[in-house]
Amino acid sequence: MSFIRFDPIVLSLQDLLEGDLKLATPPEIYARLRRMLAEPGVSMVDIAEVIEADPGLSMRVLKLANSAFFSLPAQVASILEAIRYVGMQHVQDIVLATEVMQRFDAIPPELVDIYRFWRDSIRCAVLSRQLAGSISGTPMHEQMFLAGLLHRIGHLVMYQRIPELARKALLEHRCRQLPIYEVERDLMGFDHAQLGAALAQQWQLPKLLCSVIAHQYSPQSDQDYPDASAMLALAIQISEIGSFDGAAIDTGLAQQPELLLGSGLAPEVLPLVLKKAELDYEASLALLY
Amino acid sequence: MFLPFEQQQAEILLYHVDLADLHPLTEQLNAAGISRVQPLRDLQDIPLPSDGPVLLVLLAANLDPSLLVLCRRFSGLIEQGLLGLACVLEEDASGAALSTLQQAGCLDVQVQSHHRLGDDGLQRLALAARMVSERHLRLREQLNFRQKLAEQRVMEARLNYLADHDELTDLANRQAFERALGKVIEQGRHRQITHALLYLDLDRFKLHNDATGHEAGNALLRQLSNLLRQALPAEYLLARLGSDEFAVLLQATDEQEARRIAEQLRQMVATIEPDGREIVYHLGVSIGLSMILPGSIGAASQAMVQAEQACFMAKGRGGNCVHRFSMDDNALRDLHEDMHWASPIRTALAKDRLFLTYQPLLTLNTGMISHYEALVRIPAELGGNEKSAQFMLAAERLGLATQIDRWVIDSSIDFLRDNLAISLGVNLSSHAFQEPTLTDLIQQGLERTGIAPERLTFEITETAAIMNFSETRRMVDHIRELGCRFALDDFGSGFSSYHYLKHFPVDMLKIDGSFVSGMRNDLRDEAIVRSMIDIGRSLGKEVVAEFVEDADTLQRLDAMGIHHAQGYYIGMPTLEACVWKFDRDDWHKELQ
Repeated sequence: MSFIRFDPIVLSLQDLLEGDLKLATPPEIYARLRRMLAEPGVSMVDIAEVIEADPGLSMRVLKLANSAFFSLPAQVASILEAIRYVGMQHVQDIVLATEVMQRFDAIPPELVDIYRFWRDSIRCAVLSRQLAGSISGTPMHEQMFLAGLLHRIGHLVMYQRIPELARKALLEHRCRQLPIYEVERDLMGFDHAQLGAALAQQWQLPKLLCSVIAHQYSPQSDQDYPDASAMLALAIQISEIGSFDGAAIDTGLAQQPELLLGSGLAPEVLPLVLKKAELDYEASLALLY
Repeated sequence: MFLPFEQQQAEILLYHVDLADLHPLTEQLNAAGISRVQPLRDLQDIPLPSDGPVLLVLLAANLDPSLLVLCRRFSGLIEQGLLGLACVLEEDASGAALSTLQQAGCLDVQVQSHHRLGDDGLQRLALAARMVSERHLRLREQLNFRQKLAEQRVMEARLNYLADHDELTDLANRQAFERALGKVIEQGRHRQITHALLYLDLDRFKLHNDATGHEAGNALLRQLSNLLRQALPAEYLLARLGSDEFAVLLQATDEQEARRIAEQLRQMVATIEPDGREIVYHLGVSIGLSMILPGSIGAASQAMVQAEQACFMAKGRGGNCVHRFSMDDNALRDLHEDMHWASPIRTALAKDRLFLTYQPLLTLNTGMISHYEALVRIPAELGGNEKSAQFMLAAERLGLATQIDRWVIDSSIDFLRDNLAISLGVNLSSHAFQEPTLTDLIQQGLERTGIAPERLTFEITETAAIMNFSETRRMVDHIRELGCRFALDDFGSGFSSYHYLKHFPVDMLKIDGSFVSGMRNDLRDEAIVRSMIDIGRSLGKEVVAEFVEDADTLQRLDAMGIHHAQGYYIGMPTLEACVWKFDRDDWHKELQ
């Protein structure tokens, strides 16, 4: 029996999601793109039109195509061209990232620094993407950027919807050195991973994303996407070290060797992955902020 | 918030690849009284979702696979009740094809000319539009209802949390703690489990708060509660009971372990350095420990009272220590004391039998005696002791102190009215300066008698001043505004006298008697007294030495520059007081 929570607080994760209509409805443009891409006859022109209808998004997509990350020979001026160069997955990543960032606009600033939150999430996102990309023959790597970016989305729901409980959980976690999920389960009856996965489901995000968000603390129990979950767990671990410095990361990872083993990544590849991730991080940060 | 049904009628949007084709049909629908009809240029332009429900009528030549794809694209909007679909085909199709379209979400599929719908065709479209509206309305109501319920549950959870927690530190509050304690006691009643309860009260927190400000005080409390969190496993119930009081329930813990933990917490607090601040006061914590043995304690409130009493004892022993509650220690002695005094005090008050004795103060530069300290007594025949005010502590515990204070104020003022050449020092109980009605009583007394207010000096001890610094300070200011004077009594006996000297507006310092009587055989005491006199003089205060018991001491104090002396050598307390000259010849003779 633990006393972080004295009396059960009656709260369900569904209530948290359902009670707020703005939160519950799927990100609109991302959902529309996904529906269109599922149709057999959809053309790039149609997709480009959807993007063009949103000036902010259009700007970001163009910025992405013209960034050093792709180092294209000539200036890309049209959305259609940009999509052709960077690929649909990148476009979807940007669309969802943009929509999600706009959605959580009511986080109390004294509770968390939202800019820092997103910086850390972007760090994890690029690490996930680069780790996945470095293992050949893994078809799931395309969605790993979003997995890294959104793995703590359940926290945003807590910060926005139940800030008092979220603050208590943070304090208990920091002071007592208990895992955050343990404190949250004790205090609220569920943890942010479960909440984030439920939100991802409600938003009809791809199954892989729902699954890896749910299993970020227990990748080995992910029946459907064990590799992706192992990858995300490793990316989280590295990103929490807070730098791309190889020595710091080696020390950090030494504490949990099973993460590196479980991901299937050859250790000698890691320096290269980190180098790429660092470049990707600068670019993604510039793009999304 | 919903419009009447007629106005909720879904808008009908007509879509055909060839826009020109739509014009006659639009007119025909309008003519039939269906006014909200629009041709749609582009499927991306559907005016959703805020504009209400829409019936999208797809006009096509025949059932071509791309029509099905198109229908499926809208399945999300249909599910949300924002959109209904109808198809009008130019060419006949088989029943199976029609049912395919219906499965794809079409409300109505008809085969008609795009240029001219028959009457039944028009009616079917109007009906489909109403169906979309009704469905939209129903879904919105359901959604609203579910959303409201869910939101209510979230609000309730937040309110429950707030009701049980302290906002500053996010620890449990007293209410939640006592409830949980009650449960633990209840559960342990039939099991042989021993628990321990710690009651923590910071020493000198109020001083810290006054000196560094409210914000810094709050920051310190947050810092402390986080340190407590760090130091204690989550199984131990931790709560903030009041401003600087905390409690810990150590479940299934024996006394030895509880003492160890309490001692560890005490040491931890003593080493706190407030974040980003200079240390103004070293912190300390008084910890009361109360053991909850199986079957020994009935209610949570009883356990709390015992722990709190033990904490009070720890404070009484000077603070920064751990004290275990026991029925036969001071608390019990106090209880006996209270029982002993209750009747004499009540009788003396009821029969107006309290009386004052007056002890003289010698003013050295004039050699005159005109100032006395008034001391309240209970007559021996009522069970009192004419030499001691020991009953005052019991009176405070019994809640009778204010009545005595009122009597003392009235009697002293009457005395001053009748003895015009004399001024008086008056002692009040330690709670007096938190009792605002006393100010009025003093003011009324001064007005009633017309005596000069500066003839009345109130003596306040450091402990009394500490008890509630800012409140006491306010009242002291108030009484000084009336013109009365203040003396800081037992100066030097407490920890932080110099702080008070700076911040507390007193006119007179009374050096604690123990230093003065110590001067006879301890050079250190002499040095301390000398420095206190120097400080007092340089701050412009009058300095009094108490316990002056022989000529030699008086002589040395005189040389150090003391203003006034009091003690058995000057004069014992007496029932009368008058102005007289202290015989210096006698004094000097004795020295030789």
